[in-house]
Amino acid sequence: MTRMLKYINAVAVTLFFLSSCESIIEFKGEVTGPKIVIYALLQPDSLVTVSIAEGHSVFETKYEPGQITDAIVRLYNDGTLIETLAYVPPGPQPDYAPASQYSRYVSRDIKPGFGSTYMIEVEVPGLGTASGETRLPAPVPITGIDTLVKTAEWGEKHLVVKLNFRDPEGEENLYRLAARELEGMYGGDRNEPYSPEIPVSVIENDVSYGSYGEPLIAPKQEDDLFGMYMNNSYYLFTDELIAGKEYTLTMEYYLRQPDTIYYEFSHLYFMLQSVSRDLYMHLQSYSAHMQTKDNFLAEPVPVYTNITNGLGIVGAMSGSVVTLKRGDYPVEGVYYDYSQYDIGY
Amino acid sequence: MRTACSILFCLIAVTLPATAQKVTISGYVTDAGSGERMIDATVYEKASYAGTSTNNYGFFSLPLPPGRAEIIVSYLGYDAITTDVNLTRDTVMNFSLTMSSSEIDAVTVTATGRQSKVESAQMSMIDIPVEKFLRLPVIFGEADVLKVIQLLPGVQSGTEGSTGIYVRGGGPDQNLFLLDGVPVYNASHLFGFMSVFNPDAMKSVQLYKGGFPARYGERLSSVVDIRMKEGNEKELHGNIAVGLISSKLSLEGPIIKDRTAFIISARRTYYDVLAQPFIIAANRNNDTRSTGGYYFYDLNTKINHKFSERSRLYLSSYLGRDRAYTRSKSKPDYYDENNYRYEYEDNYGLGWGNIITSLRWNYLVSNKLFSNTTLTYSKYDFDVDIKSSATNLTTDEEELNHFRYFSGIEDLGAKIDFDYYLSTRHSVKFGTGYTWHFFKPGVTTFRYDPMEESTGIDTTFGDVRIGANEVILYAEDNFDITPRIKMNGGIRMSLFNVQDTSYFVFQPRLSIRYLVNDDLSFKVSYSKMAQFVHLLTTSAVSLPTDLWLPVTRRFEPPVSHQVAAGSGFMLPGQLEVTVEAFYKTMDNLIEYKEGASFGGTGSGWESKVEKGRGWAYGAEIMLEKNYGKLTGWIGYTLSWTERQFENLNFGRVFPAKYDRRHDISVAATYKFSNRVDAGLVWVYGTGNAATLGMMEYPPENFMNPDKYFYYYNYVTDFPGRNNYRTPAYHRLDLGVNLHRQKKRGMRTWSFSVYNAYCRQNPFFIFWDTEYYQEPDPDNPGEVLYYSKPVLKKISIFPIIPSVSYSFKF
Repeated sequence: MTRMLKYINAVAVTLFFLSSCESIIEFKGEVTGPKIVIYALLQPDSLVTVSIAEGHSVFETKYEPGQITDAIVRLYNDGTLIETLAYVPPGPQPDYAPASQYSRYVSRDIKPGFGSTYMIEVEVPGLGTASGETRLPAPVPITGIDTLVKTAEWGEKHLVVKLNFRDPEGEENLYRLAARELEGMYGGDRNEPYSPEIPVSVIENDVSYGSYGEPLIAPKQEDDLFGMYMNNSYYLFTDELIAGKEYTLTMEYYLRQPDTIYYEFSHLYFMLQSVSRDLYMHLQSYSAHMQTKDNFLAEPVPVYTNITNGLGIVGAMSGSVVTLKRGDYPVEGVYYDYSQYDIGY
Repeated sequence: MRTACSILFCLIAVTLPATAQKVTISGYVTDAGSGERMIDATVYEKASYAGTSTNNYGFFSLPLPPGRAEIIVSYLGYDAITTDVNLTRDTVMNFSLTMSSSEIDAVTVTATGRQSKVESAQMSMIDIPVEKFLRLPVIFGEADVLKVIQLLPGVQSGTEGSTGIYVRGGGPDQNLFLLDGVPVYNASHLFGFMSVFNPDAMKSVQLYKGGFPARYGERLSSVVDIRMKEGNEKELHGNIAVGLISSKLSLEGPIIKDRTAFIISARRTYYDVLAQPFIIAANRNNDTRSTGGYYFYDLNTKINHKFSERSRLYLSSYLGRDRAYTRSKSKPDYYDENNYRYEYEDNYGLGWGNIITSLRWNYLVSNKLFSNTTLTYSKYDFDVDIKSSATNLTTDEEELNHFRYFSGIEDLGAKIDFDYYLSTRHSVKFGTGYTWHFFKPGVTTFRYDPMEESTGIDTTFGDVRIGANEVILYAEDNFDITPRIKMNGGIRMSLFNVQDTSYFVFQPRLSIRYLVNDDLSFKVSYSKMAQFVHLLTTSAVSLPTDLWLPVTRRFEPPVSHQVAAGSGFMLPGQLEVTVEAFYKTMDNLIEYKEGASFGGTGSGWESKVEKGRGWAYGAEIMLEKNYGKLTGWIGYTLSWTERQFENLNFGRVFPAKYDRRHDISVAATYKFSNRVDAGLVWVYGTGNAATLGMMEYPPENFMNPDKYFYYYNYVTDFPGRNNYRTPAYHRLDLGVNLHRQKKRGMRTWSFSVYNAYCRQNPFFIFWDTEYYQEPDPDNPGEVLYYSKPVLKKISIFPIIPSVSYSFKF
């Protein structure tokens, strides 16, 4: 009997693995048509710029991204049409780059102001009309910056940056903390004296990652055994825990001292940005969407949109900036190399 | 609450004078063959139809007027007993029922009495006869009570093949599984494909979907009350079974005849053992010897001792554990550049399981008052163990990395319950209990011993253990207000204290039956239920990593309100029909935030979940045939289940994962003779809800500085959560059992076929791209290549034949 059961076992297992399979099934749902996609981020110091693109059905197999040059993009301020934006063709692209699927429409001279509601309406022949609106939130000033050097594990030196601000009372405030570093690195031998013939390479880095560990943004999760925590890719946070209070944001970096003898420098720009609720929801959901899209165990995350009859987001953001400068830049007579500037990290 | 207590008190008081002129007949009903006490056996007086049924310990108490009485005692599948007695004073009578030799006889006998489903005030409750469900065909030949429960109306199954149940729109954490009255926190083995309940040790199974009696609580949607066998008091019996996945052994018998009995039932899977020859063969030419496997085992034991007719003690326990592991070890002939000989070893293990124990003392205080005192212990734990080491065999030094993670929950409780029989029309149950919960949301230890003389690491981090106290108090009144109107009303009060936060929840319950005639009744019920634990789980699958956590200040106890109305009636041919409609609301539900995909530790769990509400409504019909050669049922459910969370699906209402419009099940067994019986199961269900993207579009381009990123990533637009329906699920299972009486017992060969017509039911669906080529009509001789998006499904269980062998002695 044991031998018989072993035989049956083997047959059953083989049958199971051979027969469990994937197959095509008929889609029984409504096939949706193409939609206008609008992306606009209004900032107080920038001209109103709108990117438009096309959203297509998953069944649209012949979809080829291209420029939409015949759109009518209208800008309204508190319900009044103030400008029809002009199409701006994309700049020269490297040969290997595919055609841009974003068509840019830019205002001639309008920069958004506080206290007004801006609506962007886009009309594309064959796609209809879509619109979205937003209000520019007031910036929250950074009231102080402090730094200290600490010795971390393994004896490493870390630069700790503390930013103070006071959350405005009586309203919901949504924030983004961003940090950028403009860095100059000398390319020559440091055992030799400085040579003006050798360039100092100028690079711009996104160093917002320094806020990982900040409790409001991305608290350290020692227990994240299975990667269940998602990255806060946009460094967004709310005032839920600090409403109306003063708070100190902490960022931490591996300390690299620029060697000023060789005209090296490091300029750190810290930006506390107030973001509109719609933009906050869009960025949060988009971040979660991208992090889980290939995980079949995860419930899919829909991306938030405030576009009527379309997709995308019309959002707004304003911010305050403080700078931490180590070393001078630019210094007259120093040979700077900007060839790597655009590459980023 | 004061009003409710007053009403209950008045109801009790109003019947007290009636009891003064009566005498009481009380005692136990047992199985003549084994001495097992019988639950829900009917005891009634023939002339007046005054009757009662035995409680969970086989006890009954029936107050009757003095004088001659014809007492009938019956139970499904047993020959009824009729006894004439002259009642002059309180009398103790015990009855032993003999299993019916013919099931047709049972029809004749029981047809004389009122039908319990019509007569009882209890609604939304289904009693599942263990002997019957053992005859039904099942996957891999492993009978499983939860898979039978999935066939009942009002119960949806989870993913294919799993034992998860979703009752009347409730979630997987809203079901209370009681094994001998002790909660079981993780009711599944084999990653959810088998339940922990070994049918060989089971005596009775009852499912409550609504109209909850006040003695039950602590979960919103259902109670599955499983009672273990007590052990044969008369003689030693056993059962050996060998199946495709596991083997089982059960033994029961007297230690002291008619006083002390035991039962022990064990099973274990053996794929890990059978796979070893293949693993060894695969390793033959490798530098590393690897092995791995998975197994589970469980052990049910129970012992009971009768001190006297009034006093009996039970000790029952369950121990079950699953383990998945891999091991690899290098052959000890690896030399590094210093000519040192090294050996490497890696061990990975996952383990989880329950330990459940109860010590119960039945004491008959008087012939009207039955008491049951219980001490309970329940523990569920999950652990991950990862250990890797490198040993320098030349110097005998070792480098060790050892990571361990633990989580779980532990309960220690005490309770006392009373059954008080005031009159033939009136009985009361009341009791109180205390449970100490001990949550272990997740503790990690890490140890590193370096080979060099540098400092190692030995650290522990994770959540602290959380203790919680729970006190319950309940009273339940079963009252025949008039011959036609019967009521079961009750109150349950729960007090839960955790981390300086206390919750008190008052839960009224009421069921009313109106009896039109012997064959027709109408019923309504209302229940408020609360639970004080949350289960952190993904919505897609059930895993041992799912975490039980206590309610908190922010995440309050989930509460449900359910109203149900229905009717029970008899059709010719002894067909029992129950029809019910229900509406249920659920508040303070939790779900992982969008994007969360996997369970883990409980640290900071509040930041990972959202709070919302849900509701479900629908209608159920069940047609049952419990007598004769053909037995079984047909169930149909029409239901809607929806959820709304402020931060999920942008606050819009969405259908729950297991919202299923239509659900049909047919379960039947046919006894051809004492040697052959066959079973059939057919199920049909509307497809599960799934979230399916319908559009694609480019992502934002104003924040992310990596501009070329956008050319290769599209955003999928989902019109809404659970916006699409997978294809309908249906399946036919067939089975036949061949019995033969041997010299020393009965042997049975069971053959079954799961998914007999090999329906490829969807396990999950997804978009994919198919590539095609065809002649280019515009350019003769050229080939046109193109791709097309297609919707695909993954099916996991095709037709699966199985066989098992058992020998009962």
